Formats: sequence, structure tokens, C-alpha cells
Amino acid sequence: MAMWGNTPEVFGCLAHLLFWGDSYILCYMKKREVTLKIIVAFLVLIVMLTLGSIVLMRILIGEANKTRGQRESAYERHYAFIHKGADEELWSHVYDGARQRGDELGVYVEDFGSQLTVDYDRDELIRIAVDASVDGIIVDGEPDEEMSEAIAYASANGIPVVTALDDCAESDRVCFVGFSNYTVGRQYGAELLKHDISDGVTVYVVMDNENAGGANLVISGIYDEFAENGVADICNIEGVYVNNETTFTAEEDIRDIFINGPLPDAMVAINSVYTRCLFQAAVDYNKAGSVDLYGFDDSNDILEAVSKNLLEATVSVDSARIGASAVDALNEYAETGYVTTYIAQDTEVILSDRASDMLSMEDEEAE
Amino acid sequence: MKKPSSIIAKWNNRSIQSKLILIFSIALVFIMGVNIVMFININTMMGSLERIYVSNLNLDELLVSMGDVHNSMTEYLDTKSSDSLDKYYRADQSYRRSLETLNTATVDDDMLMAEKNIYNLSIAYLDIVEDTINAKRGRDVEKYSEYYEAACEKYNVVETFVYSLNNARFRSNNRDYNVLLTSLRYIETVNAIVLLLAALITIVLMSAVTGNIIRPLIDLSDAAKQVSEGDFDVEVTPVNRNDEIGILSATFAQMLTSIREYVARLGESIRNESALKERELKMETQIKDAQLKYLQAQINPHFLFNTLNAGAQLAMLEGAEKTTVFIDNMASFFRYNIRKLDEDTTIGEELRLVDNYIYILNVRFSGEIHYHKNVDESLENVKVPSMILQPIVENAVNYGIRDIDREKIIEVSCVRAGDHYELSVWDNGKGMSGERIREVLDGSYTPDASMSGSNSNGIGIGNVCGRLELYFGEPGLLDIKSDGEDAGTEVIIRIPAVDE
Repeated sequence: MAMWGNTPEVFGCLAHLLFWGDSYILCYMKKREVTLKIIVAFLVLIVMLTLGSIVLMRILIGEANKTRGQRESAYERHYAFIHKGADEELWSHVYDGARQRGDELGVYVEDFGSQLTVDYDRDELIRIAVDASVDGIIVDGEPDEEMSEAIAYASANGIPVVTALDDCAESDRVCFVGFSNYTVGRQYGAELLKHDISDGVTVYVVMDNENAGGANLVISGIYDEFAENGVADICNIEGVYVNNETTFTAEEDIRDIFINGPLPDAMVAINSVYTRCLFQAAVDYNKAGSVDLYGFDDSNDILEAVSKNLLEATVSVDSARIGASAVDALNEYAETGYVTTYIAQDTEVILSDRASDMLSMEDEEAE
Repeated sequence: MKKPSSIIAKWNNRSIQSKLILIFSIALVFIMGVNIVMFININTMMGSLERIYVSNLNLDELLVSMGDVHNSMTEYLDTKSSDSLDKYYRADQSYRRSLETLNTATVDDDMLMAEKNIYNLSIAYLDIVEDTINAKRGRDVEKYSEYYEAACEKYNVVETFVYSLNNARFRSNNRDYNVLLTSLRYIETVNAIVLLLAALITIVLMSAVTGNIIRPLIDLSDAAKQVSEGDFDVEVTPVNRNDEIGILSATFAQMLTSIREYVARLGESIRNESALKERELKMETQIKDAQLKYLQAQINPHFLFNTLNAGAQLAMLEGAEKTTVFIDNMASFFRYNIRKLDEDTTIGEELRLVDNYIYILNVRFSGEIHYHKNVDESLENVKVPSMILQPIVENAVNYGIRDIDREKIIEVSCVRAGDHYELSVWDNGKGMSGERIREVLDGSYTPDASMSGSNSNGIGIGNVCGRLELYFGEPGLLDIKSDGEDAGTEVIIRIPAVDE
């Protein structure tokens, strides 16, 4: 170590030994200095390149190891989040909210079954999640027997189930987190009443078998709103069923309404997929303006459609909040053994101006 | 720590062989060091690449292991053999061991969580399999059929989870593989550049160091080439090293100094010799010239000398004393003349020749010439070249006093003057101008034929002057003084005094 204390002197000496003898100092000094500088530059470059390559290699290997799952942070609980594949964007928001809330509470919320190569039904996924020993299940409910049995199986194994957005009321689920379809119907009704309907109006509510319960509540809400305003008798509110048993058929069925007619005065879609299908079909068949469309959800394309007046209005719910509330409910149940059976989320009617504001706010946040 | 100066001294004292070995060793170690670092780099990357797909292999093994459990269970249900039961137990143990490698904690990683799910599902599967086996052993057909179906469902679920995780792992591993492969290529390029730079730096170092070692040799070679071309004034740069080149350089410089000294001595010697030869040659030329002129002038002096002797004897027989003396003087004069000019003579003999000559002239010109001598007799034996005084006296008569009407005087003196002997011939004749004196002394004056004519013996002052210079090796031994027209002339010969 002592040698490095006199590094400049030793280096000078080495340079002397390498590049000039005593008698050549004067003759070759300038040339030697240039050579020395070149060699030192080369050496520095070599050292930098070597060290750089080693550091880079370590970083890359570290990154690779990270992606192979060596990054760990322990969670207290493991909840399975199970939903139907449809309306991915809405559920994606719900899941994000649940995941974010879970991170805050030390809960790992897994989008259960989404990465599997086999497309299992929700009730099957509930059973699998139970076998996988999760600590709780959040599921997109469905009021059928299979779902009830699956929830019962979970309950029998001591795993609480919370239904979100759609309920399975006749089951052992500990809580339902969602919004009231009836309230949403009242909101649609109020929006419809803003138009002159003194001559009567025909309203189609696009629905499927699966959400028939919820859709009927929407229809009831619209009807009650009309009734309260004394126009229920002259208005016709119909539920239009679309087939969602197989993929893509719902969109075809909605287009059939536009093709086959007759078109109603207004149409209401009660999820984001049907909303997109509605305004896209109206545009494609040049019916925008001739039929008032009402949508659901506040995704960007729907907001854009509202801002361009392709949609009269859309009703949105804070989907991330639903996910977070579901996690809260499960946690509360796990900690106390009790939880309220229904947690309601507010819905909001978005009109053209509000849609434009929301879009511009989002643009600003993105920037 | 060693002082740098001592390191330099140590380096300078090393032999070239050890210097070269040291330098090549350093270069070798440097290149090897760089290579080792590069090798370790690439090796680490290769190791990482190899480990990437290990997780896929593990999952495959897990599937195989679970398949063994399921097959052995099925076999037992089919046959209820102890062998299949044994297989089942072993498969169960093996599968449980395989499961131990899986993650069971709740962590922030989808794939690790998938492992946790697989683990728990597998445990549930193994439980149901165990229930099935137990039901079979208890011959509860209804139960084991029911359990078997449940076990098959769970088997499919676990298989699906493993496949899904395997796919996810494979995708992730592919990304890692691509990242590592790209970085491996990058590192290969960096390695190549580093190696190239290392090679370059080694070449530069080697050429710098070997150049430093060899440079004095090149200088020596250039110096030797110049020396071989005859240039001994080359400067050899001193090399302060004690290796072979240092010694060679010092020796060469010493040799060069010796050669220069030798050449200088040789040159001096050659110059001296050639000067000597030149003098001899000139002397010979002058003598030949004088001899030729004498041969022309003497008109057979032997015949004349013999005839004069006969005349003298005849005059003596007849009792004519004056005639006898006259003819004796004539004979003596001619006897002197027939001597070889290249023989040395003495001042005394030269004076006696002048005596004879003046006597003859006085007989001829009726005693007109008054001749005086002032001679230091101790100088009569001083050796001088022959015929140096008589030609001067002859000139004094012919060009000085011949045509004057007044008394004609010639004085000859011989005295010591410092480190010289001074021979002087003075006449009171016509004298000479300064210009004429210069012309005579530098040999550019040619007298008229009428003047030099038949009365002259033909040896001019220039000839005397040249022979004096050749004989004594000094110029300017003859001088002429005259105060001008009718002021007479004095010719002085300086003979360098030689201490005997």
C-alpha cells in the first residue's frame, strides 16, 4: 500500500523506464510525452470498458434474476379475484383498485385464473381457489346455483367470499360491493326526461340473460322515474336481449337492431361493451342523432363519444373503489368475523361538458 | 519502497536479454489478465444463460412426478397390487419432495404466487388421492369412485396450473434469455474491443520499450556507416546504461576518439612528408634550371680551364708575372664554376670566388672597380649553397656601376647580426627604385637581353633567393635596399646562424 502513496513518482519512474533512458530525455521528450498520453488514454479506456462491461453484466443478470421472481415482499393474506372475461376494462379497473388497496393493507390480490391456459367458469375457479388455500375470494357474482354451491364450498372451508358489481344474493357470500341498478335506472330516466317526451317515447334497454336481474332493476328505475313525472303511461320501456353465450354474438345482435329496425327513440346499454357496440353501430349505420343513446362506464372511448354527443350521457361508477371496498370487506371479515352484507357505491351521470373536462384532465395528468 | 532512481539504475544495469524477458512477461501478463477478466465475464453470462430454463425443467419434473402419483394410484385402483401401492407411496414421497422446491409464501410476484397455488392444489390433490387409496383399501367402491373422479379433476387443475406457470416462466425466461443473449453479444463486442485495445497498447508499449533499447544501436549503426564513409567527426550520443549496448556504445565512442587521433597524426605526418617532397622537388627544379643555364654559359669550362692553365705555365716560362696571376685568377674562377651547383660550399669559398671575379674584371676594366671587403673571418666556414654571392656581385657590376662615370665601388661584408649571419654586397652604382626592388624580389622582373647578355653568367637574384629558401627552409632571406637613382644598391643575404 505504501507504494501507492507515491503513485505519481512511481508512475513517472515507470514511464522513464519504459520510454526513455537518461540520455534520451531531451531528444525524445516531446515524442515520449505524446506516446505516454496515448498509452494512458488506452489504459483508461480499457479499464473503463472492462469495469463498465462488468457492471452492465451484473445489472443485466440482476434484472434477469428479478424477472425470474427473486424479488420478494411478504404479504399477510392472499385473496383471489375472480371475474368473467367480459367487460375487461371495467374489471381491470376494479382489479387495479383491489390490488392497490391490497398493497396498502398487506394483502396480495391475485387475478385468479387469468393466466391459465384453460378457461374455467367462475364457480370452478372458486373451488380451485379454495383448494389453493387462498384467504379470501372476490368474485363477479352470478345469481345461479353453481355459483351458490361454489361459494358454499368456500364457506365450508372457512374462506369468505365477497361478490362485486354483480351479486349472488342466495349464497353464503359475506358481502356484496356494488351499486344499485334501480338507482342507475332512475338516473337514466331523469336524463330521458330532459327531452320532450310529451308524445311518448320508446326506450330499449339492452340486456342479456346473465344480467337480466340487474337490467330489470334498471328498467324499474326508469319506469318509476317516468311515473313520478306522469309520463309512464305514454312511454314504452323494453328490455332487448342480446345473446352473449358465445363470443362476439352480442355485437352482432345489437347491429341487427339497427339493421332490422324499427329503431326506438332511445337505447340504454348497461355495460361498457354494449355501450361501445351501440354508438359504433349508430355511427356505422348513420343513425347517430336519430336515436338517443345512453351508456355505462367512463372509459376514454365512451367519454369521447359523450363529448362528441354520440351518446347523450353515460353513467359511471368508481370501479377502482369497488375493488378497494371488496378488499376492505374481506379484511374486516377476517379480522372481526363480521362485515356488512352490502356496500353501495355511488354512480354518476356524465354529460358532454363533464366528459370533455374529464378527458382534458386525463390528458394533463398524462403529460 | 525502493526509490525510483534505484529502480532506474537497476533497469539500466540489466542485460538486454533480461530486459526483453521482463517486458515480454509484462505484456503477456497484461494480455492474459485482460483475457481472464473477459473469460470470467463471459463465463458468468453463460452460467446465467444456463440457469434461465432451469425453472422450466423443474416444472416438467414436477409434472412427471405428479403423473407417477396419478398412474400409480390408477394402477392400484385397477389391480390393488402391493407393488402398485408401493409405487404409489414412493411416487407420493417423490412428489412431495419436488413440491418442497416451490414457493409457499405470499409474495409480490405472480409466478411465485402461481407456485404457491400449485403447492396447495397439489397438497389437496395428494390428500384426495390418499383418500382414494384408503377407500380402495377399505373396499368402499362408491367412495373411491367418487374420490377418483375428484382426484382426476384436481389432477387436471394442477396440470393446468403447472402448464400455465410453465408457459409464463417460458415467456419470462425467453425475455431474460433475449436480454442476456443481447448483453452477451454486447459484452462479446466490448471484450473484442478491449482485447483489441490491449493488443494495441501492448504493441505500442513493446515498440516504445524495444525502440528505447534498440535506438542507441540504430544511432551506433548510423555512426558506423558515417565512419565507414570516412566521416570521423560523428557524435555518438552517450548511453548511460550498463547493458551490452551501453558498453558497445562507450567502446565505439572510445574507438572513434582513437581513430580521430590516429588520423590526425597520420595527416600531420603526410602533410610534413609532402611539404618535404615539395621542397626537394623545387630545389631539384632550381638546380636543374641553374645547371642548364651554366651549361649554356660555360662554353666548355673544362677546356677553358685547361687552356688557361697551359697559358699560365707559358706566361711563367716567359717571366710574365702579371699575366700568370691574371690567368691563375681566371683558372680559379672557372674551376669554381665547374663544381656541381648542388654541392654545399662555405662563405670563405664564396668570398674567394668574388675576389677572383673582381680581379678579372679589374684587369678587364683597367682597375676601375674599387673592391672592399669587411669579413668576420670566424664565419668563413659557415656552410651555404654555392654560387650565391658571385651572381649578386655580377649584378652589382652589370646593373650598378658599369655605366657610371664616377668612381666604381663595391663593398662586400660578412658579419654576425643576432641570430643571423649577414652577407652584404653594396655598390655605389645607379641604384634601384622601390618598384624595381619589389619586382626583382618577387621574380616578376625580366632584365633586357642586352643587359644580361653575354656578360652575365645567367644566375639571377630570383634563383639565388629560391635556393636560399629551399636550403634553409625560410622565406625572405634575401633583401635589396636602395635609396633610389644613383644612390647605390645593397643586397643583403641573411644566413640563419646554426649553433654547433
